[in-house]
Amino acid sequence: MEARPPGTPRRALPSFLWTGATSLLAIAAVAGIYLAARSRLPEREAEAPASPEREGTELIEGMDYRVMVAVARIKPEKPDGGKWDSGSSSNAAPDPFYEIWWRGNRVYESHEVEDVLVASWSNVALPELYALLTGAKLSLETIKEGALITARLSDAIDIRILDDDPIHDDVIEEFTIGMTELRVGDQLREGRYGLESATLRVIPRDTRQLEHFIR
Amino acid sequence: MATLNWLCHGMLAAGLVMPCMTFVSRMGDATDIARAAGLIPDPKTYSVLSGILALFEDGDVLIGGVLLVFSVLFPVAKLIAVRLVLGCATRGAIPPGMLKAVTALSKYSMVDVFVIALLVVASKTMPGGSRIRPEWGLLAFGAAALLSMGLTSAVRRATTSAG
Repeated sequence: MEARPPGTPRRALPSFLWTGATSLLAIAAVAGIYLAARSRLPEREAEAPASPEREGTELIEGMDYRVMVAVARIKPEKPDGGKWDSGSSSNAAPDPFYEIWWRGNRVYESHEVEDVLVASWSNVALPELYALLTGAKLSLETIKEGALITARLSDAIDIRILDDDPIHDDVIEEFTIGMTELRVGDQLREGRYGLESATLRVIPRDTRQLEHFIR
Repeated sequence: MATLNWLCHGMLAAGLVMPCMTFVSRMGDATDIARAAGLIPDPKTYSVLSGILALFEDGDVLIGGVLLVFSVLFPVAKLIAVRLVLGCATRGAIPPGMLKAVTALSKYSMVDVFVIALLVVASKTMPGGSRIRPEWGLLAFGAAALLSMGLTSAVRRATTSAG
C-alpha cells in the first residue's frame, strides 16, 4: 500500500460523508423528538381553548336572532338509574321536547320527538341556509323553529329539555345561558343531569347582514 | 462557531416540522353559519414539510419540488458546507471552492421565508376576512436561515483574516 506523504490533506469524500451524515442525523433527531412529544400530548391539545375563529360571532345588541336546540343527546337512563318512560324496554326511551324561556316568559315550545335518545329539531335550518348562501331566493323567515329573541346583552335565556309524559313531564336538563355566551352558529353545551350534550343554534333573523356575502 | 452551527441544525429542524402557517377561511359575519353548514373548512395548520407533502399529494409536483429544494435541501446543504469549512479551517486547509459554495447556498435558503411572507401579505386582501396566520415554526425557520447567514459571514471573515 502506498503511504501517504506527511502534510497531504486527507481525502475529502469520507469527511464529507461523515459530516453530512451527522448533520442529517442531528436534524432528524430534533425533528423526531418534537414529533414524538407532540404525539403524546393529544389530551392537552384537546383541552386547549378554541381559537377565536372557532368561538363564533357574538350577538349584536338590539338585533333579532332565532335560538333553537338543534340536537339533544340524552343519557340512556335517568340520573337515579330509572327508565325515562315506564312500560316495556321497547318504549323506555324518552319523548323529548324543549322550551325556551326569556324574560320570564315561555317564548317557544318545540314539538316532541318520540322514543329517541338523540333528538333533532332543526332538520329544516341548515339546508335552507345552504340554499340561501348559494344564491337561491329564500328568506330566513321561512325558518320558524326556535325562539325569536332580541339580543340584550344583560339578558339570559332558560332552556328546558323535558320528557313528555302523560301525567308529569320529567326534566331532562335545564340551564341558563347569558346572551353574552351565545354565539351565531352552532355551539355545544354539555349536560350535567339527564343530558349528555346539546347543540344550540343561533341564526340572525335579518337576512341583509348575509346578503353581502351571497354570490 | 461550531456551537452556533449545531444551534442552526436544531432551529432548522424545528422550523421544518413545527407549525409554520395556518389557513383560516372566513366569510365575514356569516362565517359561523357557513362553517356550520359545511360551506367553509375549519382552519388548517401546516408545517414546511407537511405543506410540501400536501403539494405532492395534490399533484403540484413542480411547486412541491421547488419548495423541497429551496426550503429543505439548500438549507441542510449549507449547514453541512459550513461544518466542512469549519473542519477544514481547524486543519488549516480550506478547499478553494468551499467558501464559494457556502456563499452560493446561503443566497437561496431564505426563499421559503420570503414566499410565506408574501402569502401572508397577499392573504390580507382576501374576501370575507380569510387570511394566512404565521405560526412560530416560521420564526424558527427564519431564525435558522438568518443565523446561518451570520455564521457564513463570520467564517468568511475568519478565514480571510487568517489567510
